[in-house]
Amino acid sequence: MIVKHSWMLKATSISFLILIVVTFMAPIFTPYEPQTVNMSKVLHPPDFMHLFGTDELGRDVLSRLLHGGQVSLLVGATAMFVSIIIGVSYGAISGFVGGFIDRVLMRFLDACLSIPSLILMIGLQLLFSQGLITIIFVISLTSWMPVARMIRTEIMVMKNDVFIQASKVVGATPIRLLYRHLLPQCWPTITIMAISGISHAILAEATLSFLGIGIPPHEPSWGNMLMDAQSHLLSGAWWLAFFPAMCIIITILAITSSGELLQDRFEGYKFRQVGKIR
Amino acid sequence: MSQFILKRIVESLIVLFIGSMLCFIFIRMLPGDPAAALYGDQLQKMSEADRVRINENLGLNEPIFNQYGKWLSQVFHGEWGQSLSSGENVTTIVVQALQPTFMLMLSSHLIIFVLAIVFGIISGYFRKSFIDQAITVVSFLFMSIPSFWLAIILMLFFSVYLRVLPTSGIGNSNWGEFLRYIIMPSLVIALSHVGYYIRLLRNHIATSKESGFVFALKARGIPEHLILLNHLIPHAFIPFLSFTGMSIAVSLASSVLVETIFSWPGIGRLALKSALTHDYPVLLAVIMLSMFFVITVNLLVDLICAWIDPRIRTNFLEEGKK
Repeated sequence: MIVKHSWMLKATSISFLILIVVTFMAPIFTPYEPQTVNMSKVLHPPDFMHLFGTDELGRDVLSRLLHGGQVSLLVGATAMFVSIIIGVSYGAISGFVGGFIDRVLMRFLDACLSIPSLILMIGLQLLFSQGLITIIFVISLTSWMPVARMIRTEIMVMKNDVFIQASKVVGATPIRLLYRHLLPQCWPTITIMAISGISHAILAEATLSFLGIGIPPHEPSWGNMLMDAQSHLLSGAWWLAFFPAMCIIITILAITSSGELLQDRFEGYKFRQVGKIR
Repeated sequence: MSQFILKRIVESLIVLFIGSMLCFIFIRMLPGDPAAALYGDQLQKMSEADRVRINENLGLNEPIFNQYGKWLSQVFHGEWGQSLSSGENVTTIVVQALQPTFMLMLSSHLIIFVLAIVFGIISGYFRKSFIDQAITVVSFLFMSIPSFWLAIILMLFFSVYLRVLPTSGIGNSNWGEFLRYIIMPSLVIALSHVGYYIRLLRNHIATSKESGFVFALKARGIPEHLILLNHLIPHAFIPFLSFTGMSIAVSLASSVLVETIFSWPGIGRLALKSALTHDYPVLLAVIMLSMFFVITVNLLVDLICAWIDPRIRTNFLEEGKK
């Protein structure tokens, strides 16, 4: 199926690619250090010296944005990866073993799902010290549940298919069935869930940092920058809030729309049937 | 049907039980000494024996499952304990916060339903037209905007620039006043979720428009607008409803953020405040309450879906037998 609104996809993907490249080559592009304080140029609007202006300590917003982007994108990618691993193994075990174990695992999953995730994140965050590892851990611990549920349903549906029965007859072990036959079939689902997982993780990181319990305050991240910007908005320092927010929006927009495109490629509607109850 | 209702209720109770146990153990794992929170600086003047005695009185030296059993029986008697920071009864604090959150959830979901139904149906019915593309772009945009940023922008625009809406608080009991206070928080929650609902409805209507039953209806000469009204829209009702049930936990979570930003005196703000001040009895009550709310809403949604569509209940019962 050809996607009509692909111009939007192209625009966002290209800007996202540029964003990734620029972010991870930040030291080349930024003339200033993200932590350098320059008290003679405080809250300076954008000009040619500081393209995106400076913040309340005279730090260059562009440099902080790029260095912060590294943190945000890193958190997004790793948290997604960890939550996919947890979710896929949980869902695969639950769907493949079935019976009583499946029921216990599913009730446990329902219980985890019914606790509002942000409250859980706040609580988990209190358990450990603030930092990058903690935040990745916290985000992935609160976002594996939908993945597990999707994978479980897929495996349940395929478990009794003819090709699985055939390989059972030939003598395939359960492990081989799972790794060689069932899980490869789940790739489309896993890819889609991974893509939405990245955007979820980036937003979660920004939210936690905004509440002041995410990335430690002195380190730049997009959420942190937005939190700092909050108190200077009234004095008209729009550039402090505008550029980090734009970075987040472009990133999420690119990720979601590319997810949508892939979904259409993988025979769209299959993944859209959220309404199918379990 | 009665079998389905019974099974589904039992299932929800099991989930509630497991969830409450998880929450309890989790809260007990959190840092901070209850004795320290209760007595503050005085604790340092006390002897070691005194501290042991306090912990014994609070029941903190027992095995965690005994503590859980004790707590559960207290909860069944309506006794949620006392707030560590203010000394007030937890029940009164939580009940006070309940109504504002409920109103917020209600109004934001009203906005979501109206916007999603109107735009989702238009976008799905005129798929790939200009208007569909416009709606798609806008809903993607709202899906990508962080809700706290949206809150700040709305606040700047309506309260600072136009000066028509108050920035924070809940106002007094006057209804017109209350409406002015509630509009921005509920708009933020609604706008940050409505994109998903629009996409869901759009895709459902667009796919079922090409399915066999619509083809058959067209063959029988039923006019297009009647097909839409009598067949496509009711057909999309169940997925829409069950999506609402699933995302109620998400919107409750985002109310933590929105309530904090707008100083809305509800459950979400209470959760954040009690977590940051290590006020664990309150935090536990809030988490339990929101869990109960989410599970109940999901139960209701499932029951309604099963009542409308008999296939759901037969599938459910058959799956249990396997």
